[in-house]
Amino acid sequence: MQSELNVIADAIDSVQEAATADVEPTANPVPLETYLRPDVPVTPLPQSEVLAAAPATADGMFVAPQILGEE
Amino acid sequence: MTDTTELVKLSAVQMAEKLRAKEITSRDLVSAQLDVIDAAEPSIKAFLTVSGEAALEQADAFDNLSDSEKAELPELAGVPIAIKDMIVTKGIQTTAASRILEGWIPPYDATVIEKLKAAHMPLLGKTNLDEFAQGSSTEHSAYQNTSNPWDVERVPGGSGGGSAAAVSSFEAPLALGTDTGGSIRQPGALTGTVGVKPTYGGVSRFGAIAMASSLDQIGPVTRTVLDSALLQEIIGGHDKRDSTSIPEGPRPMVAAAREGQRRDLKGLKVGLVKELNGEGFQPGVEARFHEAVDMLTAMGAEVVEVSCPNFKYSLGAYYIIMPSEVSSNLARYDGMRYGLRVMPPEDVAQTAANMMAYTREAGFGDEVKRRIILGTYALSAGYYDAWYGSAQKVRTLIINDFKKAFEQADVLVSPTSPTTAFKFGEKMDDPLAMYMNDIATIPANLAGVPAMSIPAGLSDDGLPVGFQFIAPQQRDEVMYKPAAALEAALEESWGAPIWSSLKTPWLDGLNK
Repeated sequence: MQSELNVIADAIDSVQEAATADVEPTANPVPLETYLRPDVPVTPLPQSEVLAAAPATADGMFVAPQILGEE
Repeated sequence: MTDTTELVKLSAVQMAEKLRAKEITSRDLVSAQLDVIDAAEPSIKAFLTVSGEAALEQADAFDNLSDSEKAELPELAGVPIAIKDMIVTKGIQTTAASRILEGWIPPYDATVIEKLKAAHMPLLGKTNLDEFAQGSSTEHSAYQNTSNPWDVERVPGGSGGGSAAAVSSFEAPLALGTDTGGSIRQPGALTGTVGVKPTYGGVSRFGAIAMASSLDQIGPVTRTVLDSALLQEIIGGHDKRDSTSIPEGPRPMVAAAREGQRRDLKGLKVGLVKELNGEGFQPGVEARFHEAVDMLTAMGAEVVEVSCPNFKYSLGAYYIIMPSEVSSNLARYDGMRYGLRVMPPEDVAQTAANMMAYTREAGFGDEVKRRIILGTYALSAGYYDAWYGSAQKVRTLIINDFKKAFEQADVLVSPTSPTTAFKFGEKMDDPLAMYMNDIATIPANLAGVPAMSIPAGLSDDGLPVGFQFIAPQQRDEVMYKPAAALEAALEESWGAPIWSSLKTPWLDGLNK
C-alpha cells in the first residue's frame, strides 16, 4: 500500500502549479447564505431505537471500553 | 395481463400509464420485478438486500387507494424502485457495502426515501456498490462483485454498479444512486442506462451516508431520459435537514424532457469540451460520441468547441478534497453507537482507542483505508496549504472555466467515460488507472453543476458508450431537453432502444 500511496501523492501534486496566490479557495460549490432555522422543539428518536444498534449498552446508555490505558 | 418479460421492459412512464388504465396493478409490477430479480441475481448480483415482502405491502397500499387519492400522487406512483445501499432505509439493512455496517438496521429514512414512500413507490431492495461509494467498478464491495449485464465477465462501473446493473438487466425500472465523482454517470455509461447527477444541493443528502460532503449528490438511474426527469422532480427540492439544500423547488425537468422528444434543438448552443475527448479515449467511444454530436447538429443545435484549461488539474484536486472529506466523515465509525465493534486480543490493553483501531482494521477494505490515510495526510499540518488549500483553489479555477464555457454555450457535452466496461481485476492493482475512469465526470462534482449520461450506442467491442451533458448550476432542465432529443434520434437510427441489443438469458422461461 505504501508504494501505491506514493504514486497517488505524486499524481496529485500537480495542483500546486495551478494554485497561485491570487486564486481564492472554494469550499462549497453552491454558496448559500447561512441562516438559523426557527427554534421549534421536535421529538427525537426514542431511546430504545437509538440504542438498538449499539454494540454494548447498560442502563439506557452506550457502554464504551475504558478510555485511558491504566486503571 | 401482460407477460412478465414484456412488462419489465417497459419504461417507468409506460408502467405508470398501464397502472392508470387499470390494465395492471402495482402488485403485478412488483411481483414481476421480484421474479426477474430471482432469475437474474445468480448471474448479475446487483442486490445486497431484496425487500420483497415490504415492497408487496407497499404495492397493495397503492392499489387500495381510491382513484381520487391516486390522482393526487406523482406520475410514477405505484412503480417500484431499487435503492443504492448508500442511502438509509428505515427497517431495511443498510451497509454501504462495508463490513463495518454489516447488519445495521437504520432507525430512520433518508429524505429521498420519505419522498418515494409518499409517492407510493415500492422499494425493491438495496443495491451493491464499492465500499462507501469509493471506486469505479463495484469490485471494492465487501460482499460481492456485480456483473455487467452486457457481459457478465466485465464490471458494471462504480460506485453505483448495483443500481445501474439492476436497471439495465430489467430487475428494476428505476433506481437511486449517489454521485461524488461520477458514481451514477459512469456506471450508466458502462451499462447502457441513463444516470443523472443533479445540481449540488438540488436533492437532499439527509440520510445519504456521507462520503465527501461537498461533492456527494443523490440522483436517478433509469432506462429513459423522461423517467429520470420524473424521478428527479419527485426526490428534489428543499429540505431543512440538509444545510446545503437549495431553498427552492425542483426545476421543470419533465417539461424540458417532453419538449426534447420533439427533436427540435434550433437556437440551442452546444459546447464540445476540448479537454474531455481525444487522447486517452477509446476510438469506439470517440466514434459514437462524434456521431451523436452530428445528430445534435442535424436537429438544429449549433455546436461550438469550448476550452476548459484547468480541467487537467481536476483529478488531482478531486483526489485531495475527496479523501480529506472521507477521512473526516468516516471517523464516525468508532464502534461505539452502531456498527461493528472488535475488541483487541487479550494481551493488548482493552482501551477505546485500541478497540477503534481493531474495529477499523477489520471493518474497512483496502480502498477505504487508502483514502482515509491519504486524506488524513492531506489535512495534516505542513501539508494542508500545499495540498488541501491548493485543491480548493483549483476548484475555483474549474468553476471559472465552467462560467466561461457557459458564456459560449447553453449545455456542454463529452463522452461520459474514456472506455467501455473492463474485465474484473483489470484495474484493481493500479489505483491511478482506476481513478482515470472518472476523468470526464469529476469536473461537474467539483463545480456543483448538474450532469447526466445517456447511452450513445455500442462501441466496436459491442459494449455501451455513454454521452454526457453538463448544464449550469440550478438549471438542470437545460440538459434534459437535448438529452431527450438525442435519445429519440438515436433510438430512431437503431430502430429500437439500446437494450434491444442486450442478450437476457435470465429472462428466458419467466413467462409461465
